Amino acid sequence: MPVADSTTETAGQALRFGAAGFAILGIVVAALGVMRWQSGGDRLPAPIWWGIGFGIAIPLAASLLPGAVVAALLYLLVARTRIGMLVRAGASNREMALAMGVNIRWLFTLLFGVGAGLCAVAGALLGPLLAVQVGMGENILILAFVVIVIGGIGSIRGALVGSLVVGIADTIGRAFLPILFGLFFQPRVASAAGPAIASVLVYLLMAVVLYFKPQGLFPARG
Amino acid sequence: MLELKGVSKRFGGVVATEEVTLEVSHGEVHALIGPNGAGKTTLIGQISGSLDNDSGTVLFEGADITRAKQHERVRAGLTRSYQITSIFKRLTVVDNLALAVQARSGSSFSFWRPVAVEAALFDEARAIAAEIGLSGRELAVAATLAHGEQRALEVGLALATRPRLVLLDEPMAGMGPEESESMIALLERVRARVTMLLVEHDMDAVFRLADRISVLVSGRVIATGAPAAIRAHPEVRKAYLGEDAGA
Amino acid sequence: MRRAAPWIVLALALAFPLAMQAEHQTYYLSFASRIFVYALAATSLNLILGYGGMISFGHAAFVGTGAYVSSILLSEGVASAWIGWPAAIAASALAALAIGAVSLRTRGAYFIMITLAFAQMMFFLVNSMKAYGGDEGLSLRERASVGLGVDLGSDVAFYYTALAALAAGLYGLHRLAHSRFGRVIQAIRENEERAEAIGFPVYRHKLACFVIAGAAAGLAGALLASHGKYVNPNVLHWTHSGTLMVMVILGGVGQLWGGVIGAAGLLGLEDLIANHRMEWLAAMFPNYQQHASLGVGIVLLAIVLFAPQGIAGLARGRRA
Repeated sequence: MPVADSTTETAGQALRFGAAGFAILGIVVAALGVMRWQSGGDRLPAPIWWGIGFGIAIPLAASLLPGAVVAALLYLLVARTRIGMLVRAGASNREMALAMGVNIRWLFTLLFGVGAGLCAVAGALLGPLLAVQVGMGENILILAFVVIVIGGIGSIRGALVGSLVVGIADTIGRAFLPILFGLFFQPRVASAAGPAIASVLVYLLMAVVLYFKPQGLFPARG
Repeated sequence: MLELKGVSKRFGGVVATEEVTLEVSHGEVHALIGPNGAGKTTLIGQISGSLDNDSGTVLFEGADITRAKQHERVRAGLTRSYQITSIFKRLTVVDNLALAVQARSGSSFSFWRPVAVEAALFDEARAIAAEIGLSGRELAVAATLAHGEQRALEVGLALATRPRLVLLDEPMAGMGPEESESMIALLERVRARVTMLLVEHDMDAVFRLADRISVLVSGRVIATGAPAAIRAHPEVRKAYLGEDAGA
Repeated sequence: MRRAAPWIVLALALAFPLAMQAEHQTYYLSFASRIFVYALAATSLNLILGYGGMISFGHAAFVGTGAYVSSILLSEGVASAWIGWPAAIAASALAALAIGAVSLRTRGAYFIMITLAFAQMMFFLVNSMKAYGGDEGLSLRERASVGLGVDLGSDVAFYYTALAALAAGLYGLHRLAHSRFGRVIQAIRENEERAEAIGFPVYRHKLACFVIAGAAAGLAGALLASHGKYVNPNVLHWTHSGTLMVMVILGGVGQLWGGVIGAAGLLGLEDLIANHRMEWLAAMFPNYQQHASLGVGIVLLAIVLFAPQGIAGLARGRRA
């Protein structure tokens, strides 16, 4: 029984999102770092080898660096290397790439592994920021999806913009919406509605963006 | 019947169609030819509604359909067939055609009554199957059909919507001489009741069927006219045969 | 034989409580009721996932909406199911309309993610409703009442009610699948572009399908809340959507009985692992009962790898 065409197309799309999407984990980490830093959080207990180069513990903003490096490396990998080209070809037209002699199964399995590895890096970077527990990835996962959807699947620029938008909107929303509500509504309503709306602000934002631009803000071309 | 004015489309940096102005008269078979990559399929997409226009207007029977959705255009009598076969592979031939018939006859927001009782639907589907030469293959699952049979079904699906104007995108793609003859015969049978815009590479078919021919090169129409005039047109010869084309 | 099968199953289901009463095994009546309710929820997901080809990861939102609307009404003193359950259905249908209207403008991977995100949005919204329990959930004193001299507090009565709802849902799906609408939806699943190209307003059909499924899920949610006399925001969590999806895949995507078999299979398997100690397995893995999810995961992997049409597909002799 042949696999429905839509499944192959979805898989291709999902892979395109995967190729670029895991980069944003690094960026999300960076965004979280910015958020934490803005709220005056305490110092990140930096790994020893950073301390060696600088002599003292590095402030939280340093968590931006690994994220940026990962993002840059991934962009280079996907856009500038031969392997990246094979990945993009396979995602675009699997059968054709197979016909050209590309071992797609092996390649995509490898890609999946790389993605998982990147998640591991993100997790390690997140360790000092969030509690290390079994479900720690779940919240990030959803936010990552929202970021990708807003930014555009398969688009690294979109992921960057999306993560900044989401991070900033979320933080500002949580900080100021309850206050704003308190100015206009009675305390009882404000204390209930404020946090509620703040927690779903990013999703409302996503809905609005998608209504006007179903492909996200910066959809990947082709 | 169909008028295109300044229709254009680009994909990123690539200009697919540029300022295309074309006109199809009622009852004619108007062929659209051009080298590979000229933008013919893109243009078909723009006329049928599968693709948006970057600029230009599409008028069908006087009405501006530039912004109309594809299914609305089909309802108005403008349907296309696809160059790369796009049928319902897991359904039988009859079910494929019955779907197209169902689309134009009554509402499909009926949730309770089984379709099986609608004999008229299936009778018409079988009639169309006969017309496209698939009489004996009605109950065959579309995926099991031979290439030529699938192309016939491809065209049959478009015809089943009872269009007033049908856009045929290389109906003879990938066909051998015998299958092509059948397709040409089918189109000859059908031309009396359907106006056609026919995109084709098979020049034999084009010159046998066409009343007028338009030539698309690099997204632009470089010539329109009767077959004999097009055959002799210097620009056309240059596009197909290169700079040093002889007489 | 195959045509008689549904009737045989129905007869067995109708007779089941009589056999159970004799053994005083009301635990199993309650368990069976839970299966029926989940079967209804899974069947509603099967409609959009299996028949419609729309991979929605946010279906729990509709189950949860139904559960919460009916629970809120109950806690505010509206005891009648004749008001509570239609209200749950209407609320879920409305939620499906709103979420579907935005989500269905997207395709493929986008659609999966946006439905997931919307479900989480509903989860957070409900989680912050302190008036109705917030993250601790809402306990109900009693199940909804249907009047007519029937007390839904009795496990037998609830069992038959849940069975009736499931039977109605299955029959509805059966009629729908063979109707004009059903044909279009399945055509859209097979080749969406061509469906539009022969004149079907695809978006409208998908949205209608989404709303119908949402409404059915709402009913399942209302029943779920009454069954356990408790509801909490986790019913809207995306992992719950995942559970429903597992049921559909396990049972058979796009097959009429897929939701039923999947719900029975998954819940039965979980119960089997957790409550019925198998000594031969315990000998190798002493603590296996605490890791029921692992076993379920392995079974699911096996199904996806070796029998993609699910258990129902196996039964029909198809191994895609």
